[in-house]
Amino acid sequence: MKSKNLKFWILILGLHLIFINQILSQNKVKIDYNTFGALNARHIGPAGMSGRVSALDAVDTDPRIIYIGSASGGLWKTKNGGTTFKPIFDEYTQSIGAVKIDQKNPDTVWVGTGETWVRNSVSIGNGIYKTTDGGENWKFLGLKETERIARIAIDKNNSDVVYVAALGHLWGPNKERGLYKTSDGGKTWENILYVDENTGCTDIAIDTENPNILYAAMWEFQRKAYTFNSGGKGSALYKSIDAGKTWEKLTKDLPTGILGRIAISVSSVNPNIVYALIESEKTALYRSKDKGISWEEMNKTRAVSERPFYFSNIFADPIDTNRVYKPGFGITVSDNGGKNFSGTSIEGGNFHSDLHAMYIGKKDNNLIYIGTDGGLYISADKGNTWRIARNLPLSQFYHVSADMQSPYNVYGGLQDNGSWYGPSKSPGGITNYDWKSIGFGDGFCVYSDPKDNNIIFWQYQGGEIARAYAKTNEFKSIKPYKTAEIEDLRFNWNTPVIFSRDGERMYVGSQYLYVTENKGDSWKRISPDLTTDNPQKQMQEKSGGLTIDNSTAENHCTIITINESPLDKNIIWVGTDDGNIQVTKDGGKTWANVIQNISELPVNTWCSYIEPSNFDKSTAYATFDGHYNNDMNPYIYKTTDFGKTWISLSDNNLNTNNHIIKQDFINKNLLFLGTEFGLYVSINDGKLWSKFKGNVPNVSIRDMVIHPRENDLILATHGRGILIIDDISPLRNLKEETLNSDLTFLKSNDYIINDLGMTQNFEGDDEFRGQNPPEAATITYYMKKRHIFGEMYIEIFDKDGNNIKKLPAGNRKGINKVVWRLRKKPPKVPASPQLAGFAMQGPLYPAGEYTVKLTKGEDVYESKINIKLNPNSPHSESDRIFRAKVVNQAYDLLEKLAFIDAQITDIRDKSKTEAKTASKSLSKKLNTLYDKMETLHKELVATKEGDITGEEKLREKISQLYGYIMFYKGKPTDSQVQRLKDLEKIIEQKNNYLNDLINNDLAKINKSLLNEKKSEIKIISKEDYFKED
Amino acid sequence: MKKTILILVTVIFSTLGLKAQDMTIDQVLETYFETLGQEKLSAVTSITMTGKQMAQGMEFPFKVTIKRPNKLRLEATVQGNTMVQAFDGEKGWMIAPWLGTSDPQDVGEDQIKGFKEQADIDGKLFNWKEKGYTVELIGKEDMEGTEVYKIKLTEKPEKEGEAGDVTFYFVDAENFVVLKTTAKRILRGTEVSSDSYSSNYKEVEGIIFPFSIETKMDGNSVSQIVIEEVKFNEDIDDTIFSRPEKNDESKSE
Repeated sequence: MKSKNLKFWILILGLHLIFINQILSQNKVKIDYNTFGALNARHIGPAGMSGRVSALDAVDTDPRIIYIGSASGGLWKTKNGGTTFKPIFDEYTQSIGAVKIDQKNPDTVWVGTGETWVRNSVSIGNGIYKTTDGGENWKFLGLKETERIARIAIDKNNSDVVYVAALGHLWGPNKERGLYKTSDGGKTWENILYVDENTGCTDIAIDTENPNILYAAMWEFQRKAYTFNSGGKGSALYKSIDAGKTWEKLTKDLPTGILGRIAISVSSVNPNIVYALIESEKTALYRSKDKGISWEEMNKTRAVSERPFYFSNIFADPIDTNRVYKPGFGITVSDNGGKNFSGTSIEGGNFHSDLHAMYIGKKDNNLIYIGTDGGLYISADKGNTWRIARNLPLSQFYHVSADMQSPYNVYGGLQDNGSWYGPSKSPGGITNYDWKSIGFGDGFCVYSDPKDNNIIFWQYQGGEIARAYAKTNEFKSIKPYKTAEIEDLRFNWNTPVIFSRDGERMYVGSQYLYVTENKGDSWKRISPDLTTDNPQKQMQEKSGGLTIDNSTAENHCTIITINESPLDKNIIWVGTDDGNIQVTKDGGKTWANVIQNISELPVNTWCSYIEPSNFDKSTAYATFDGHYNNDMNPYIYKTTDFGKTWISLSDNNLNTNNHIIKQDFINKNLLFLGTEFGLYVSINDGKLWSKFKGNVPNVSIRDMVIHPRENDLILATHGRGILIIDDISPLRNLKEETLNSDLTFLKSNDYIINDLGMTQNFEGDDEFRGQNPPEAATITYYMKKRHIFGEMYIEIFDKDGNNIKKLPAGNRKGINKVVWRLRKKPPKVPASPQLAGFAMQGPLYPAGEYTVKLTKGEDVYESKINIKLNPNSPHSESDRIFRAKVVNQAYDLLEKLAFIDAQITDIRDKSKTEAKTASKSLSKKLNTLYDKMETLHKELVATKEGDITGEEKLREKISQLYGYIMFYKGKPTDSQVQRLKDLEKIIEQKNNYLNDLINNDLAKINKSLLNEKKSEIKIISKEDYFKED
Repeated sequence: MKKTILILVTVIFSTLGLKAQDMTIDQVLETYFETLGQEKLSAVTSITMTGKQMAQGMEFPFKVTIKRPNKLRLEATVQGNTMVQAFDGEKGWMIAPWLGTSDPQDVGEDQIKGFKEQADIDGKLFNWKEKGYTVELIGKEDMEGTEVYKIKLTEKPEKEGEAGDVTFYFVDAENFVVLKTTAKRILRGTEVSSDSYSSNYKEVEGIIFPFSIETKMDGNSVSQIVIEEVKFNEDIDDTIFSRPEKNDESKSE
């Protein structure tokens, strides 16, 4: 509905026509992230277990300032030693390889992107960035194709001279790798040490006295989806004495065979001492006391040799020349230059295993920061005891699901941090305490049993599935086993466990597909081997190269995605990690491999997700993730004929590999795409993709679910925890014609009255607190253009047409959300030096339909909004209606009191004023009236100034009663109801007394005032008192 | 009719497209002052504004009076009590009965800094050189789908060696009004950043004025101000800005 002032527009249009053609050609509305406007994600954590920290640095002169680089959750900064953190890199790739502060200008920080702890699930980077203002603004400085940067070193005498150790591509050969140098602060780069297309640089160290002396470590390595290799002829340790112009390969006293990953540390106290941790047939720590000319093997125990591709780090203490740290699974330290190592912890040691980054205080070496697979830990006693930074929400989810409780819970599994579930909202915000841990190891698919909230299914790496009982904390392993007629089962690291939409069946995939209808107690195999079954890709026992590393992370030729059609339980789609798509239409009796029908897709491209349509049995969407084959192209396809033909849904807005696609279940043209670099949305069935930026960082989106009741889009991010975009229904209604309209209301969820209540907690500022959705009705509309000139506001009308609220309108381009908290304005209370805290809020308006009228300049738009009672409320409707009645009685009583007191203080003050000029006898009467009014006022209202006066007068008593009745949503107590009646009586008595005074004392005085040719005392009228402020 | 003219101006600006990326800081500011009606504003001696402030689901009516030079008085009503904050050009004071006394109290330097800012009728950008600020055009960028010029204004530091306060202005590249300001202020050693979004611009006596201002911190709305009425050049007694000895308005003894 829209009414226009015609005259006005005719005038404008006439003049407008002159320009109109030009404007039309310019104003074709495009869909981009601004179209989604005020739709924002909430970050709900969890943060308690945090996630992998891959790099960190602190300011040497003020180590309270720490920069934390995470594996896939961006870059964070703390200025207070780890009490609070801020993400400062959300616009860029979230995978951080190296962080280096220019200690001469600590606001200058270099960040190399692309983690170099190259496990199977590692994310990717795209070059080097620099800030000169402590992280507010970043400049991209190139080296895009290096993919991973392991270390950055800055010449201490010249901040423009910077060395960058670039690993290069993990999943294939490339040329942009090795050691780079800039001499102009990053404007230009020179590759100063290059071996070959398969060898990168893992470490660079500068002699702390002579910046011309450099040490560099080269590493030959490569990963495939099915194997990893560390080591080769390219690996070696190098030294330069001319700032990188020439290099000498260091071999004297060092192992002669093939080398693997190498880490270097130069002592800043005595730079003659250099440590090199060298992976070889027998990995060992070496020490040189003459700047690398000769070396001595110090230690070759497990303390130094664990998992070199993951833990290649060695740190010389900055104060004590004999002390050297080796972080790995845990952290060990040597006090004799590396000869013997022992754990740093004597009293403590409860930190997450798998250490990747470390900082030791330069002035006080008691202070240590470590980056682990489970976040940042801080020690103030040389590694003896540790505390975690528990508000770094870096959790790396693989999958997410949601239950149907109210509020609903989300469930998911995390890289190296088990399985968790937590509420979508919680009183005061969602804290770490709200999240519950279940299971162990690496977590993946986690579900609440759709039929029984007590049962939770979880899993750990390599197909280990469990059924757990929340009440007793027991779990039962339920994985299917090999049977005589088939090969050994191959389960992926990230084995798919999927429920049918109706919750009746659960599927699990190895190379075969299994289904259970009794919660995993028995399994039925319903497919042959659906993979390529290539034996060359099944030699995981040989994976790792120099150091064998067979953790199930390279398991291959396995099923990786499964989904049953929500329209027909016999239609099941399966995607495999070696690039097959298989479909059955008869519940698994027969299968068709339809991958060859996608002719343009490179063979053996990992099928990351298959999504059967919610609207048509023969339609499905598939995403493919080529990055395992060193191919970052986006691949998305759709079939409408069971896979016989496919069309590509990829467009130029997409620039990276994809993990998941989801089709909305209401609007079939609305699609969501989770990519390595953030979330994309299409409102036209994949013809055009637009990035969704509202509070969604550039993070890897691994899984999504649309909550069937709440319409929330829940995102599993690999590095930033769970994100919730509340109520996507406005997106469902964003049609092409809407985009061209000036303003269109978009339907949102009806608001169900809810109140989370309150808690009392003082956990400190270092607790994570995920945002709740607003407890309010939401008015949503789309605008083609930002509103700048003229009025714009919203009014709410009740069913009787009363205008009950005026709200400022959102004015941005795209989707706007305006919240209406449903509260009547707070009751008027008598003025007092004490705030009446209980009366700061008005009661809620009742459930029902309300009219929303939006005025924008000359135009008026109208819509409806529905407020509903919570069907799950424990309170009967009659109780709630009774309560509302009593609350409103208390509200009215407060306002009545306020008006009585307003009259009293009015008469009081006017009496005092008149007394100054009146005759002596009248003055006396006026003063008497003044005293009576003041006495009466003090009976009604607390008048003492100060903090805890404990003073309770009628105002305070009624306010408290009003608050207590209002805060509880059900029936008030009999005592409360009786109390209200008693207070009403007292107020009535006071009012009668006041009226007596007015009719007698004041009337007499007024007569006398008139006799003395003065004007009578007029009392404030009810209308004046209650008129809108 | 005024509105018609205003819209026409908009149409012309948008149609001609004003090859704006070529504009210098001086040109941007000149066009901005022209749009705003700065000449008229400079002749204004006082401004009185009434409206409502909304924060945390609550609503408070307020009245602000600004008078040249650098005088400010803000009144807000909470539960029937009037809170006063005022600045007489040198001293700042306030009355807030529920803070333990209804007598006027001096305010701290941080608040005086804020009062001074608000008491400047012309705004910081006008005569920035004379005021000792530096101004820089950072460039043109997208702000929530609208093209804006980003201008950085830096003040002289309070103390030698410290950084000066910084304000960023985001000026609509089509209509040349400020859509957003980002203020970075050092508050007792800690930098605090806030964003204020201005809209509902209306013309009052030839001066363009925003009637709606929303303030956000870290992206979350913390306050919304809706102005209901603006009056210029009211006759205002200087005494309302001076700190009284005791609270005359206190009704209690």
